[in-house]
Amino acid sequence: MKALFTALLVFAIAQPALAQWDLLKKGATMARAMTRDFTEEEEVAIGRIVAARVLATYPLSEDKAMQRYVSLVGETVAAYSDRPDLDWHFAILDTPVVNAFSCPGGYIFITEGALAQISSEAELAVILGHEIAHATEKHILKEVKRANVVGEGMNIAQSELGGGGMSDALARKVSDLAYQKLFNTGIGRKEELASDRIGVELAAAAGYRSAAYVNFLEGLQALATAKSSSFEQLGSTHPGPDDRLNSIRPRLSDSGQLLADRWEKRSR
Amino acid sequence: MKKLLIFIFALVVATAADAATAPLFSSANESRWEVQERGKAAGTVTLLTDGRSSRAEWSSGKGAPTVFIATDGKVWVRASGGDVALGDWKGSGKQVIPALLLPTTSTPRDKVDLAGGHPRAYAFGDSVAAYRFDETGPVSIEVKSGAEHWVLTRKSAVKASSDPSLFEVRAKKGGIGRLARLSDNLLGPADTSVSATAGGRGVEKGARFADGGDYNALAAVETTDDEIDASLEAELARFQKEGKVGRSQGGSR
Repeated sequence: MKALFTALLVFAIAQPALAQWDLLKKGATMARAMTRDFTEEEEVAIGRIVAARVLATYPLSEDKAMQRYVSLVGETVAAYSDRPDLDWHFAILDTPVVNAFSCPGGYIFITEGALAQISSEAELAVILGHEIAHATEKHILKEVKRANVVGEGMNIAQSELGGGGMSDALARKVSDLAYQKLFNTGIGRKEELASDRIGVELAAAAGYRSAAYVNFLEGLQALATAKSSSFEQLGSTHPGPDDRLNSIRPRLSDSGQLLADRWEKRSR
Repeated sequence: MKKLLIFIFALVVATAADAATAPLFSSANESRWEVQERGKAAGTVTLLTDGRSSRAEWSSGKGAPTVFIATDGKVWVRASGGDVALGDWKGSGKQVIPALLLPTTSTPRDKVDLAGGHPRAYAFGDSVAAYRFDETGPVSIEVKSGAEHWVLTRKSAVKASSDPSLFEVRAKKGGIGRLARLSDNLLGPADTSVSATAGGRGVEKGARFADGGDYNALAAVETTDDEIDASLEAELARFQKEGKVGRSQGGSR
């Protein structure tokens, strides 16, 4: 019985020490957050904030059948990416604006306006491949980090130590920054062209005819020439379609599946 | 004091109950099994175990093998986007493969009968497995589920230490699961007893922030995606085969 009391006493003494140890570990985690890359969990958490902001800008399409189709194509292409195990989400936004968005953590959106420009599944595959590339290359995440979210990491740490988590203020900062990048300034020409290249590679690896991308980019160029309001946003955030076409054309291939019929059938 | 003694007794009983489920192999091991369904060859299973966790790679000869991982008292199946709990798995192998994963049972309620320190029979789901051992370990398992009947025959077994990462579970990060993982992360509490939907903030409403985002729409995306994911594997295989894209054409980057 004495041994039992001793054990209980040791346990009682150890508990606060363990709690302190837990706190220290959390502190160390926060400190590491200031210098290391985001973990996948953090990436997804940030991605959810960005995705929620995208969804606050454009409503979600209610076309479930089309949603499923886009998911099937997206999953097919994502399987050939550098991060096939990421929990990819593909969704359609109900807006005539021609655009697609990639949020950290695998949240990919394409607008009904963009889908209206497409005439084959292969085109959709390359476009989704482009967005998948933004996510795998962590383009938005790098912007978040570059914009001194590292400094904000300390705020996360302080909040965490206080028993909370990510604050509304920090979420707002991440959300505003991502909105600025996605809807106003864009990520950068180099990143967009790299995403075109990777997107084409992914779609081709998945068995799609990457040359179909020409049709989409030429369609964008026509919208740009006509100064269509549906293209205004994409035009301000991406390199010109001609520029993109010239850059990517040597990498396009005529082999692989076009699947214009399936697109026609399922996109009606 | 009485309560404390009862607690300790319960702990001892629980530990003993846990130990009562004997593993197929007591040490690190790699074995190969041939599966027959109603007398016809139905595929093969490569079983890796470290005596506590197991990994069964089930190949029916069509498509990629299905990977079952049994660890920490739970069985998982590797699927697109991450591992899903066996109970949520819609694909093949569910009626048979758990027979290889002891000491982990497919649910805590499953019944395992022991004989001579080995499992003799194991009832899981609608299936019942009967084991035959010799001095080298398990040599065959007969599994019955309604009118279905399988025989698993061990073709080889070698002592082998597997990479521990082979038994790691990468849980699918669907809405709830993702938030649950956040709770052990920089952005959330480490206390796993907190509701999974507590998300990054340790509150009951999930990871929602007053940041101008539409978190209801986000939840809809995640829910829809989880629904799609539940049947995605089978549909994706059909979809890719029909279009001659993806895994059906075997391309690589």
